[in-house]
Amino acid sequence: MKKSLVIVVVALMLLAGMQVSAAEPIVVGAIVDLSAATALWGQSQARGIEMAIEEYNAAGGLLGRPLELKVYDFKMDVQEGITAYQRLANQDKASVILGAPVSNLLLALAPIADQVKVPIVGEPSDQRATTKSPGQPWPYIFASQATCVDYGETAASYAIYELGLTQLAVINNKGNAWADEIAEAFIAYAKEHGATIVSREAFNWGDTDFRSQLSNIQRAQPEAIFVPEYLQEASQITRQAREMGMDMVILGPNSYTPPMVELIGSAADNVYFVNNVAFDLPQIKEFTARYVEKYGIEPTVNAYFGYDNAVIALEAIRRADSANSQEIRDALEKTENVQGLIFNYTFDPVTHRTDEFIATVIKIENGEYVTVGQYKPVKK
Amino acid sequence: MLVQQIINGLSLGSVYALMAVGFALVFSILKFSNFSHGSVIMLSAYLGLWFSNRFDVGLFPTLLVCMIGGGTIAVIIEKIGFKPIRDKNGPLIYLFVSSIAISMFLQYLMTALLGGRFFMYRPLLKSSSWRFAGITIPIVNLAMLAASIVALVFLLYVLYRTTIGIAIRAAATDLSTPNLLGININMLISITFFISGALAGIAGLFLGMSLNVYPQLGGLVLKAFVATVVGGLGSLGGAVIAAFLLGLLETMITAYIGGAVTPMVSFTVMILFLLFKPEGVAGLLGLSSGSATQKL
Amino acid sequence: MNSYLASILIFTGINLISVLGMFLLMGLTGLLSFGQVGFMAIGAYVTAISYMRFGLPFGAGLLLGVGVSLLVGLVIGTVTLKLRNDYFALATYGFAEVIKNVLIYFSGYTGGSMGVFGIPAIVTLPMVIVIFLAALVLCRNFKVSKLGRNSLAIRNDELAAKVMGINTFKQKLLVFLFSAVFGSVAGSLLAFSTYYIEPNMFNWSKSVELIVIVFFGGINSLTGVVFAGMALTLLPEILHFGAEWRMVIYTAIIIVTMIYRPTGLFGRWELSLSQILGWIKGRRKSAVGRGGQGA
Repeated sequence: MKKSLVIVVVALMLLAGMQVSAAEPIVVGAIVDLSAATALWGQSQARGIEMAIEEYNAAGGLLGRPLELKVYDFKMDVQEGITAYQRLANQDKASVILGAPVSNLLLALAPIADQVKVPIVGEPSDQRATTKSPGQPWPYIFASQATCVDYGETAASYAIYELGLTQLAVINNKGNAWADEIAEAFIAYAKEHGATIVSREAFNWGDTDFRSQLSNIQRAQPEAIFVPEYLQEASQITRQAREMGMDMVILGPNSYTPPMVELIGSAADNVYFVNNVAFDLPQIKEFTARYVEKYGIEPTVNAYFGYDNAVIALEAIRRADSANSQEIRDALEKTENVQGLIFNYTFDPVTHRTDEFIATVIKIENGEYVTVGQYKPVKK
Repeated sequence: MLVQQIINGLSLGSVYALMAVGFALVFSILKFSNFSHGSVIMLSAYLGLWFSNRFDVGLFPTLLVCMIGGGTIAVIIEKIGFKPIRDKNGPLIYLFVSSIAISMFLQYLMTALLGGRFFMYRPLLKSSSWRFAGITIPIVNLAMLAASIVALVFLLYVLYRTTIGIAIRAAATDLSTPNLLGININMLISITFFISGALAGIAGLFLGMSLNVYPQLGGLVLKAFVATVVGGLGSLGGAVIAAFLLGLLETMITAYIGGAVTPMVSFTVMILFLLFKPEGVAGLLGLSSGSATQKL
Repeated sequence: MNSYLASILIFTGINLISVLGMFLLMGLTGLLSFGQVGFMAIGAYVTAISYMRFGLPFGAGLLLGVGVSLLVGLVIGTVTLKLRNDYFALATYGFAEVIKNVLIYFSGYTGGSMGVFGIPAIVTLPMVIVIFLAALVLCRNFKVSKLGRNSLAIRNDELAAKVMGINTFKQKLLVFLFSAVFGSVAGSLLAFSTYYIEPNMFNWSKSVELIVIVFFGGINSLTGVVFAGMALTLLPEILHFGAEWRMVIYTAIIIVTMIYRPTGLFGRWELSLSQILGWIKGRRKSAVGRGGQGA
């Protein structure tokens, strides 16, 4: 027993020695949820990141050094997310960190990153995560995605100008910041553009039955219902609405991406949703096929973002020609024409986000996702 | 409109009631809040999903498998998580804490095993709702309503009219009494958990059919906890009626005051109710119960 | 110091302060509360809002939070402590849910679901350590004081305690308010070390985490609870190698420990200063020695 222990220790030391002699890897960190309610997204995102890192490593790494990915679970807990960030930055000496698919962690990390000075690339749709004060960004946070306001406005604009629907209802979880921000933007845009919000219903975390709210909506006779919600809630609301004979148009965010149809079947018909990803792009199709082959499961949209965030960060390392966090940050700010799966990314140095939001509107018809096309909201 | 909202309330109440009846059973016999009940519901939902897809069978065989499966899971949880604590004469409250730890464990376990994926039953019913004269009745919820009432009647019959039921109620007053009478107390407790688990199995199937199947499905058990406590004195009837009242209360607040304030208003109403009726719903209705001393 | 270590220690300390409150309540009166996060939320929000909106210094905001928590605790305690213990558990659960709902609903003051953002970094590790030690001393003294012994009498046999002339209601209320203060202070510290607070941080699951810590350590042992608080906050960090299995391993460890030690990890054992001194001087002292006195 003791002898074998000695052998293991010696072997480990040898291994450690060998690693030092080879080029030291550049550490890329990632903070995702692997164990709580959004584990499906977190895992998808982690795998997307992993695929990007593997590609770069297969091409010889960066700066002549291999890349090492460290993924930490934060179980949707802000405190754990903060310690994970500190650990990646201080213990693992990560050069750059890829962030969680939810905004609230990045809201907490923005000021911390100001002190620790390791940049984060994520996709927070809450604009406060990237904007310190109007016109001034948080220096170390970058987002590959548009804001909640963009999503809400796009959905409203599409309903009013493309579908010609002006009697609108909105239902969302008042406790879900993401959902509420999108809902408020939708309502503000709709009112400004001559539509009427005939019903506004709310629910709370943990609710599974929305029939009471839907009865109120039904009575208000809207032409469309906007449901800016997470997968579970959105699927339930849509299913229960259809059950009650409400077959009007339902508008939504990217929660209606797969596996929505798999879950609620024909209830998903006549849904239009604003998506950040155009599924029929060739690079998306090709990536999806590789992902399915590798992991044996369909990716959620978070895989594409994970991949793209990694590419944005790694290209910044290449441009900076350095693994120094400060220099990577400076390079990230100058991100220009970096081709990812979803977009060609150019960051606005004032907002630290993609400078242009191109939404794809997708319709669900007979259980199929039909891409209607790219759409930009009509501005007054 | 009012009619539809009352139906909505009853249908939500059926969900709570079906969970509450199994929850209240353990609560009234072993006198602790068994939060692992939610995990049994969640695991049964997965079991039924797997079974109905794998063997391509209909509602009733799946229901049977869920009941047996749920009962077995509950007994296993008892043997692993509660019996060692009972054997060492650990305080009752440790059973409660253990049940919470177990429910966390099983939720994380299913998330890790299946990557937090969501699943859906293929349609086991021809249609999911009845609609007439502008009123909608969800069929699965109607089935839950029926199941919870049948379960309640069955349990009351077993507990008050059969020898084993009398032994179980004797155990409820004092765990050492049946031992003195030569009855195997562990057997009684296993039976109690099996019945409670079988009820969780029914709830798991119906919940899985109307919601999706996912690791957090068992979280709804909190409502069963609320209904059981408000039900009062560990009374099964009280718990079931409280569950329906809770469903109605939440629905009416959402319909006529607004969903944004439902938790505030419903908890305030509940606490006020308990202040004026300290015996709970059971006291309100004059229902009796096997034991008067309840702890958590 | 490494800021990773510092942030772990800060969060451990904050958790422990809140846990000490729970320990007092559950260890001394046997009352189970699901409402500790509610008081943490009050502390966090009152301190953060009074600082950000009204420029009140952190210390004053913390005290204001304590004041509000005391008031709320007084109302809840007066209403529910005369009822049975399980009603109290329900009421405290309801209280925490209502607080969350209030924070979301009255968004004009609280930011609603968007929370309060950009809270400055005022809380430091030494500050947390000092407050934690103060809380610990307070807790220990309370446990061995007449008040503490009266409370224990209630936990063991409420009727007997009444006969002995102890005003059980007043006694319970007092301990409940104590625990509320601990929760509130922990919440204030939390807000100024996460820089961002939202209603959803003060969830039922957070209450459950705290309850598990108290029972894992043992409701009869202050030493055990402090140890459990440290161990259970550090353990998830150590288990990061488990990736998606991390929390599965974590909860399995808790269950196994609970099964083998159903009165908590440390039972009734207490570490005391004189024991430590005794060890240092090389004298052998029975480990169980002074521990029994408190319990």
